[in-house]
Order: sequence, then C-alpha cells, then structure tokens
Amino acid sequence: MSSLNPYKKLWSEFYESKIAFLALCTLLVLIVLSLLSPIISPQDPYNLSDINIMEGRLPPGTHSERGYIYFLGTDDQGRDMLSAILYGLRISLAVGVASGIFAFIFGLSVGLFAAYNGGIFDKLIMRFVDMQLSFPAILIALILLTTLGRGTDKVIIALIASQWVYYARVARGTALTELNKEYIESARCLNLSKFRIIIIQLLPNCLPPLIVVMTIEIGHAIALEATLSFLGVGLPITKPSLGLLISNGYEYMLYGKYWISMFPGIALLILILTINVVGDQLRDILNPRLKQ
Amino acid sequence: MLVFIINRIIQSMIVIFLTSIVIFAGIFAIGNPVDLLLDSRATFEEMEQIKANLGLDKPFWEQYYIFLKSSVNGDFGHSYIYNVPAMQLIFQRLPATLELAFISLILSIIIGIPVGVVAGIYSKNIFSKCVMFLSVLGFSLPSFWVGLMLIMVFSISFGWLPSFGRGETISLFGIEWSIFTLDGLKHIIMPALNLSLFGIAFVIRLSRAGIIEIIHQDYIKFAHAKGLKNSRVMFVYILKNIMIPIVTVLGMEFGLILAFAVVTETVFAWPGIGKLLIDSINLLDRPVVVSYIMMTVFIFLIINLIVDLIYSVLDPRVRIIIND
Repeated sequence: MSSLNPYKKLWSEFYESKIAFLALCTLLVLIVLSLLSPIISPQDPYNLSDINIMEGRLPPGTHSERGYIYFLGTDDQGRDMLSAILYGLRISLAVGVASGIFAFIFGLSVGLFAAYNGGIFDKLIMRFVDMQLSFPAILIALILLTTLGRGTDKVIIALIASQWVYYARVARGTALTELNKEYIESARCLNLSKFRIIIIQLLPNCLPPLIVVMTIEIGHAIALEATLSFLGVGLPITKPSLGLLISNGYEYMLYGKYWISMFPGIALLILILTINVVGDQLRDILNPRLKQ
Repeated sequence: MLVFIINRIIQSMIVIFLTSIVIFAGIFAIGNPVDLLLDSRATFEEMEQIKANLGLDKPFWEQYYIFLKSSVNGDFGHSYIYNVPAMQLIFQRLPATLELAFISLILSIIIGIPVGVVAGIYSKNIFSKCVMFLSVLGFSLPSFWVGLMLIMVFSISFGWLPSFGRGETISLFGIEWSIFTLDGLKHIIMPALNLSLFGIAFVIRLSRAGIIEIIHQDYIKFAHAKGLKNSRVMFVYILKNIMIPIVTVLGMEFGLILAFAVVTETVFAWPGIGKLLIDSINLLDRPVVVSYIMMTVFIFLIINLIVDLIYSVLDPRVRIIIND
C-alpha cells in the first residue's frame, strides 16, 4: 500500500464519495465550457452588431430572427442569456482563480517566513493576521473597494487583501509542525542555506493543507466577487460576471421576467457548490484526524 | 486582566488610526463630488466657490488634519447630498439596521439550536444528513441570491410578503420600530431570514457537534442511570454544556450579520446604514462613506473586545493565556 503513488491513492480516496466525484466532473465541465465560451456560445454577447435590441427580454425558448433559439431567453439589451452566462462564467472563474493564486503565493510566503524566522517578525505578522481575521472578509473588501473604486484589477486586489490571511495562518501552522521534524534538522546539519531549506525542504511538505484552503477560498472569492458586483462596487459593466448579470436582471424580476436573473444565479450556484463539495472532500482526505 | 484590556484598547486605536488614513487617502483620490453637485452649466467661479465652502481646495494633509481633529469630537462633516451632519444621518438609519440584525440573531438561535440538537441526537439518520447538506448550502450560497429567490417565491409567485421597505413603523422610546406592527412584521420576516441563514447554518453545526461529543460522556450516562427524566438530562445536563461554544461565537456572528446587512438591505431596500453606504458610494457622498466605515470599524473593535472578555469569563484556560 505504501508503495502506491500518493496521487493515485488520493484519487482513489476521492473517488470513494460519489457526490464529490460528481461535483468534480460538473466543475470540470463548467471550466471547459467557460474556456470554450467564445467558440461554443451561439452569439457574442458583447459584439453590438451581433445583438438585436428589438429582441430584448424575450422568454426562454423564443426563436430569434437570425434562426437560432434563445434557450434561456434574452436580457434587456437583447443578448442571448446562454451566451452571456458562458462569458460571465469565464469572468467569474478568472477573477476567483487569479485572486486565489496570488493570495496563495503571498500568504504562503508570509506564513513560511514567519514560521521559519520566528521572533518579532512572526509576532507582528500574526498579531496583524489575528486582527484582520476578526473582521469579515466582505467588510474588508467593501472598505477597500469604496476607497479604490470599481475595476477588475481593484476587485482582485481587494480579494487578495481580504483572503491572504487564511493562507498565511494555515501555512505558518503547518510549517511550525514540519520544522520540528527530523528532515529539517538534518537539512540544517548539512548547513544548507535558509532559502534552500524553506523552498526545497519545507514548502512541498506544507502544500497539501494549503491546496484545500485554496479550493475553498476560490469558492469564497467567486461568491464574494459576485456579491460585490451585485452591490455595484465590484467589476465594471464592461466585464459582466455572473454577479453583474444577476444584478442587471434584478429589477425585471419584480415584473415576472425571472430568467434574466434566475439562470445566471443557477450557474453561479452550481459553480460555488461544486467547488465547495470538492474542497470539503479534499479536506476530509488530507486530514487524518477525520478519517477514523 | 487590566493589562490585557489596556493592550487591546491601544491596539484598537492603532487599527482605527490606520483605517482612517487608508480611507481618507482612498476617498480623496477618487471622484470629484463638485461635478455631481453642480450641473454642467456652472461657471468656474461657482465651482471654486463651492470647493472652498466644502474645504476641498485645501491640500491633502490639511484636509486630513481637519478631519482627524473634528472626528475626535464625533463630527465627520456634512453630507454633500442631504446637507445634514453625516453622523446624524447614520444614527437616523442605525435603528433599522440594529432591529434587523437582532431579529436575525434571534432567528438563528431559535431555529439553529433545536434543529442542531435533533440532528445531533439522531446523527446517523437521513434527517441529520439532510440538515448537514442544507447547512453547507447556508454557508456557500451567496446571500444576495438567496434574497432574490425569497422575493421571487414569496413576493412574486405567492404574493404573501412585501419585497421592499420597512412597512408601517411605530414610535417607541423615540425610535421607529417595525416589529410591533403587523405590516412591519411582514416586511421584516424575509430580510431577517435572509440575513440569518449563515447564522442558522453555523449554530446548527455547532450544536450538532456539541451534542455528538457530549452525548457519550460518562456524566450523561450516569444521569440516565440515576433515573432522571430525559427532559431534565436534555435541558440541564446537555443544553447547558453546548451553550458555551454557541454563546462565545454569537458576538462574532453579530459582527458578520452587521457586515452582511449591506447586502440584505440592498436586496430588500431596507432603509438601514448598509443601504445608506451603497447609495452614498454611488453618489460620491464622501463624509457619509467615511463615517460609515469608521463607525463600523469601531463597532467591530468593541464587539471583539467584549467577545474576548466573555470568553475569558467562560473558559478559565483562556484567562491563563491572557494573564501571561
């Protein structure tokens, strides 16, 4: 058993939960769809010559003048909702993953250095992290965005700033237990440089719990971005993520035109839910305490 | 203990100071409210005049100094739009938000604990699994989307509940209340439920985990063996013990509810401070935005301090760490 490839083992344990497996498949389908959105969507929703404003707010299943069917209806500008959702999915995923990766790198570096160096640097950083953790992420993002203004880069900055602490905390905690192990001691005895010990010895062994954190935090980041965009402080209207699509259809919903808000909402829901289920399953596998 | 409190107060003041600089610098850098106040036909002199009236012609540090000096006295300037003190505007809207937040907190307790307890006692059956799945939903669903769905089902499809506003209010102790009128009650149900979803999920998980941990302990077996009634074991022996973790997270949860009130108030057009913030951001009403943020940071620091103090009272182990 021990000779088994660890990734194969991980995979076989992941496969044990049928729900998690299903969620992973759905998530992969969503990612592929979002990557292929310019090719597979029936219409380019942001090419003005492609949309017909006379066909605005049509219910799902209406035939367009150009011969295709609006399976999910159209919005107030006459955009095909299906295409808009595919493009929106791409934007939501891109923002979530980008902020996740940057927050991961930043939090990991800070956490590892704090754990390795200890002392006053460690104390100050952790004091700061604890302080920030006592404020909800949405509040921090909201405060930053009210001061930074609207924009894709600004949303990503706000998401990184509100989420890096989760990575830093886990990275520091894991690194502290790893630092007590014999391989670090032997590396120190070999007089390897500090940089080399941290990058080559310490880092790979701290990764598993951080990957779990990253999966779950990307889910949070996507939900947070959608919320901020819905409030009108997130992405600009030129980058219509799922949150903005929902926000656009909000007022029409009150008049019974449910599809403009409803379908992007369902897409967002499936996206966030599958990420969370996959993240939970990864956490259960990698946390030996829960296995018994 | 005293040292701990003093330490925390100093820390809190540093946080407030840092926030004020970040906010002020950020707000200073974006948008010019003068463009918004005057129409495009205004002359250059009129523009300069209004800038001077608002103090916007002074350099950054001087503006910040004036801001700091007056904010120590609780004066955050006049709203550009309503021309009343920004703090007054916020205090006018605060009762609506606090009312909503307290109702949400109460909802999350009275729904969360019973459901969590039952799910904990029958932790192996299908009800418990469903509850756990729903609590995952409560954690992961974006709350604005749930709010929209509530409106769609209860306001648009069934037409049972109104979808926006506070409804009829009644004045009591000089404050307007929604919960004491039938119309107000109808208005508050949906936003409060929406806001409490996260809290309900949280309390369910905590009480379920607490029950599962406690129910197999020896003192519970002993209480049963003594022949005590099930209800007495439940309320005196079990509930008392699971309440400790729940009470300690309530403060944190109240903070979360206050933060998410921004979202819920926007969805349901509830006239609280959250909606005021979003409206003020869109109208570039700087003094209101700044006073909202300073006020919220202040409330959070106080909540966190109280939570830590309660924690140290309830759990002697924390007290030792604090005293060290």
